[in-house]
Amino acid sequence: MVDFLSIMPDLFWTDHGTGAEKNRFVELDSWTEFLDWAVGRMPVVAHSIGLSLGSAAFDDDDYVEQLADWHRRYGFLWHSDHLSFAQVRSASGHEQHAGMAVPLPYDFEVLDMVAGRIRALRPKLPSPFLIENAVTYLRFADEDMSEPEFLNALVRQSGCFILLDLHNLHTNARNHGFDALDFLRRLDLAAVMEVHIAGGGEIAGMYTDSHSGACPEPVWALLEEVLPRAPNLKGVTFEFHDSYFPVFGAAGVHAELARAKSIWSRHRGP
Amino acid sequence: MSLESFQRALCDLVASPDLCLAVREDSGAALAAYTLTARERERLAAVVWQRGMSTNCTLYRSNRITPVYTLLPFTCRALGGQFQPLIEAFWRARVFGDGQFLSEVDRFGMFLRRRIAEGGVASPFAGELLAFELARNELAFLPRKAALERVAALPAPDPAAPCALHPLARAVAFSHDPVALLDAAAAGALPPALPERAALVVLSVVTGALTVLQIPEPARLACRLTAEGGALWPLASLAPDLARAGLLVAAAAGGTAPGICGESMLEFTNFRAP
Repeated sequence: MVDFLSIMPDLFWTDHGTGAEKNRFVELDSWTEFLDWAVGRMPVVAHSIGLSLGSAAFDDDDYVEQLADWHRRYGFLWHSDHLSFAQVRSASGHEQHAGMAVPLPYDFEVLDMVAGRIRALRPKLPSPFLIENAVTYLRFADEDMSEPEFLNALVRQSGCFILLDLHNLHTNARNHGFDALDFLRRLDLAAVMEVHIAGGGEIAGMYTDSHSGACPEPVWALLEEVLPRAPNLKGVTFEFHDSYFPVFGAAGVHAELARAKSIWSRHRGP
Repeated sequence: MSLESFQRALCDLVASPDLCLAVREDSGAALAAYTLTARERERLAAVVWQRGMSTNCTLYRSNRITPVYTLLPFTCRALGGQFQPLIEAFWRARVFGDGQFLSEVDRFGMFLRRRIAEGGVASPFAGELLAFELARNELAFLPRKAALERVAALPAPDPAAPCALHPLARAVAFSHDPVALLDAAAAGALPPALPERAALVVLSVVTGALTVLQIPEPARLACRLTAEGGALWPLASLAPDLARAGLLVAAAAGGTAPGICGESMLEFTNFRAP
């Protein structure tokens, strides 16, 4: 049922922070034992959450080196992170975490900054680098370009690929009232190497990307749209937050994987 | 600088519904501390009216409370109605540093200890449950394999020689019956009071799973005396269960000193036979 595994490397270690004198990244034995077991059995890809590529004032060379070290150990087929930021410098100059992935305005200034950071990152990670389209509950007025235009330009300027999260797209389209199919028509689907699907729910009057269960029907419809039109797509990942497992159960996860696989087989062959 | 300041302002808004309300009231004054372009200022003044900003504030609070509630569930239950004002006071006092679960929980633990020491926490159990959960969390995130290899390289502990607590074990002091207290916390049914009884338990993940051993009274007293600067006592003979469970190891030169996590935060180590 599972053809490849996408792991979030950040969850496999405790990061004692940039100020740690030694042993900044302490790996969790039980987690790495599982990874050691998995890499011998199926391809593994890395989906990190700590690069904070959209931050105007954040660079963490040790973190990048830790990721590179894991690439050497585990041979990840590709590496992805998010088009957003989570780290800023507080007014007192200390690291401050946003507590969530904060969206970026799609401006030329931001494009230049993120493209530059990805260009600097790519030689350090020995695999293709993918950027994931963001989920955003805010809309910024007067942006220089649309999200598909921004992503297309980012691909051109940085040499990255796209991790197209269809649930993020669905969430944004639903909350902000735009047509997800039109978004797909304007996105360079040849740059899409991985697709994420997931489920969500309502929080504070908005539909959110909570990874809480089954994919909604519109996400399946978007997957049907994308699969025949993304020639470089290599895999579809179902994202699910383990805290919902007692409710959703193994059967629930299995059903989502089976449906995704059936759609993949119909469009791309077994 | 401008984009950096814009991002910091956005983070501050997500973290503070009060700041969002202040920007709604008077964006010029509320954003005066940030270096912004006119477009950035207008954007921030606009997003605080969007429904999505409430969602962001909710998500921030949910994401920030998750480590504390996940890793300190008994402590949260003991705090009861005081939990919300205390966690909000903590959030006002400390930014969400690096976003790491363990460091956020440790920082909240330090904050709460101070409040307990100042008499600002009503629950009589909060201190010992906090000590228990911080010790349990620390053990859960330790590199177990490396610690076991380190201990395997040591000579077998000799009752007549200095010994120390296993690096994968922690001692926690209780001032109420630990069995009754932990059972009640696990059941979510903490009573208003329990009879006071000093006790010392040792948590361990030596076998892979968490085990909890209560130290016999003579050994507990010996530990306290040692911790308070008194003579060193033969712990292996006073607490043979610890020795049998492999929780006492030969003291390695320069090794880390295990401490009693609890009301006094006294340290003890290297129990020498007299």
